[in-house]
Amino acid sequence: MKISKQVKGKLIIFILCMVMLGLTSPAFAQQKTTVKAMMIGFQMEDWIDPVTGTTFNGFSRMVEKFNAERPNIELKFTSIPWGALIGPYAKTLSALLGGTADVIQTRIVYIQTGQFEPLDEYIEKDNYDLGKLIAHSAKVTRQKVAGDKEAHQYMLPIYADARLIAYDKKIFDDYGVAYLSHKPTMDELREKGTKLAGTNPVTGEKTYGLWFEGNYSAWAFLTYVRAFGGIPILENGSRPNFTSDASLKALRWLYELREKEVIPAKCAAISGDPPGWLSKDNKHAIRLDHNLAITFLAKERGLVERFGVSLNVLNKWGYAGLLGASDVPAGIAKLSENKDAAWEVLKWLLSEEVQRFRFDNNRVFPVLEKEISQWMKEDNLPYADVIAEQMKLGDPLIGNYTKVITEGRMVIRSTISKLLALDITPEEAAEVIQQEIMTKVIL
Amino acid sequence: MRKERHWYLFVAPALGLFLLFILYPLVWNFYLSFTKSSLIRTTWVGLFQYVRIASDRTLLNALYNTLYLTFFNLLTQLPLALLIATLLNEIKYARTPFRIIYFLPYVTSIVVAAIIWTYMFDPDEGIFNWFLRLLGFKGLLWLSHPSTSKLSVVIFNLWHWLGYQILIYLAGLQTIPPQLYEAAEMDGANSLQKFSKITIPLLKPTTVFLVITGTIGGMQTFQQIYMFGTAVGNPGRSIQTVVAYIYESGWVLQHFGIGATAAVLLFLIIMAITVVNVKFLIREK
Repeated sequence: MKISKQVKGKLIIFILCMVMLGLTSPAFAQQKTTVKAMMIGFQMEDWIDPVTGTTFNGFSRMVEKFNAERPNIELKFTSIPWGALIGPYAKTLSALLGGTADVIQTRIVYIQTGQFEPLDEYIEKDNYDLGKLIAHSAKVTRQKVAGDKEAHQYMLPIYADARLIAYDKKIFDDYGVAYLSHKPTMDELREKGTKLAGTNPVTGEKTYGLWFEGNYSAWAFLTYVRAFGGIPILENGSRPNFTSDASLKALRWLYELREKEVIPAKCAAISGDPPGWLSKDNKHAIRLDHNLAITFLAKERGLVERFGVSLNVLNKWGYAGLLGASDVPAGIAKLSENKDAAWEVLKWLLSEEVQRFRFDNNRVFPVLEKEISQWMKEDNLPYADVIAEQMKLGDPLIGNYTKVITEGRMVIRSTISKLLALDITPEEAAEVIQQEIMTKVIL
Repeated sequence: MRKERHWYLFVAPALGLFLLFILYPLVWNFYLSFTKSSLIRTTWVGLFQYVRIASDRTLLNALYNTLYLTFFNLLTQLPLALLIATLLNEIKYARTPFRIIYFLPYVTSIVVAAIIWTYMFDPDEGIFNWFLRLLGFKGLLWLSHPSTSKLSVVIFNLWHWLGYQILIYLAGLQTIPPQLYEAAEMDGANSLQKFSKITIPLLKPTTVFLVITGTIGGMQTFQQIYMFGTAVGNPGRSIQTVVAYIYESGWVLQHFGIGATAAVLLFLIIMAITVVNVKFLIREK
């Protein structure tokens, strides 16, 4: 069969068109590397604050922006809520072991699985400045795992947290007691707390001097052991040391103040703030180990003048309270096939843009040391300088989150609770904590 | 026989889900109980974990708490539920609104309810102590002291479960033929005699059912414990149940072998209690 020249020409043009079209198809476009990130506590959708009615932007907007700005990477971002009982840690651990995510945020203790990629080469290659992160926060994620001759930077902190001491100035005024100093000591807390417990001379109401969260007491207790000069964990964090003089002093301090009703009985098994706290009806003078939400709540409720904040109790090493920046950091899974792209995502999570977005929209404090007070002041949030200072003072020994601390905290919680119920003596409590950590945690 | 094979297709989805989500985890849990496992590293240790938990005072304490709560839950809930159900069965008007009122706590989220009850149990400002003081008594420490914490949980459970028990008893009461009561009346029986000689014996299957489900539910108590006193069951582990112990061992301490062994123990206890109850029911029939 003969094909006419005209038809032949049309056929060639048609084939050429198809070839051209084929070349422009996605398959020939620049290859996209998919990075899967499994993170914890990111508010993905837009949300409305139920109290103030303010609308906040969801993090999915930032993910869209990331993907639009980087044509060679496709970021698939999953966030697991903090609240779920077995949710975040089980899922992130499964993702780490199963290789189903590239960037994973999870407990710092999972570094010891050996399933995280060392970040040292990437940090060196990009000359990445870890100095911009809160003091010590990156140091505690630098660890040795089995087979390592030297420590490596396996993970990086991606948010910050801290605990400070808050107090109600009105109760201090009613009793004629001087406000807490900027750096209160254990003695000052004991002395002022005792004076502020009893019947308020102005209102006639019963007040308590100190509030202690008995259900979540581990970090506060460790802070006080350190404040009395103790080292609660020995041998690079592998052995407990809770029968020391400092531990006994901390336990006796709590027992004595509880016995005198300076700390209320209900503190034995309580989570969160005392009833009426951060309101005009408050009856608790000093709230120990307060979280950073106070800056938002005091401002929203118009109580900035009434409530003051001080640093947590300093110890002889110059630290105060837990180092809250590194307990749930992020890293790159060893099983990831897209490690370079995953590193880009990790850097992006630590960028000013993302950190600011989360601070403004999710009330998550930035891990960037300089920006904390700057951004707080820009947003007219109170206590900016104290919070920024407290962040830098976090105790790396507590922030190391070794087995003794992360897993031993349940033993500490239950024993301190019993102590606050006056159901056990300080001496017995010290023995129980030591023995139970030895037998239940270090098997 | 061959013709009937296609019916297996209809059962297959449910069977598949059962195998995947019930049987497989059960078998895997049983395997884990013979290991020392953090999920990352798993080592076969034979019966070591069983020997270990036999002398674990924390587990024995959790077991005691669980049995205590289960026993007192049933002891308080069943008689009260029977009494209220009998009264509800007698009234002619507004029976449905009453049923709804009693049933509401059962459909309320335990987590939400527990938060509110924490305020109600507050030793200084809680409604219970306000009421006790009104009557001239001294307030209790409720959830804040080991001596009263279990009592607080029993009261909370009574509030939560009572509506369910009433509903089941009501259903049971409506199966009793009215002719029996009429015949008893003709023989001169009074209300108490009718209740003890007709109602209670004929409600035995219902009671046994409630005892079985109540026992299983009681042995699995966790949510309210977690909300009141975290996984350790504060104050001082005084309300920690076996399920809370399993949660603490597995998901907090990362000792999945111990958690799995405790889960097997709990499974065996529940199975033994259920078998005894079922045998008792069959014999009665």
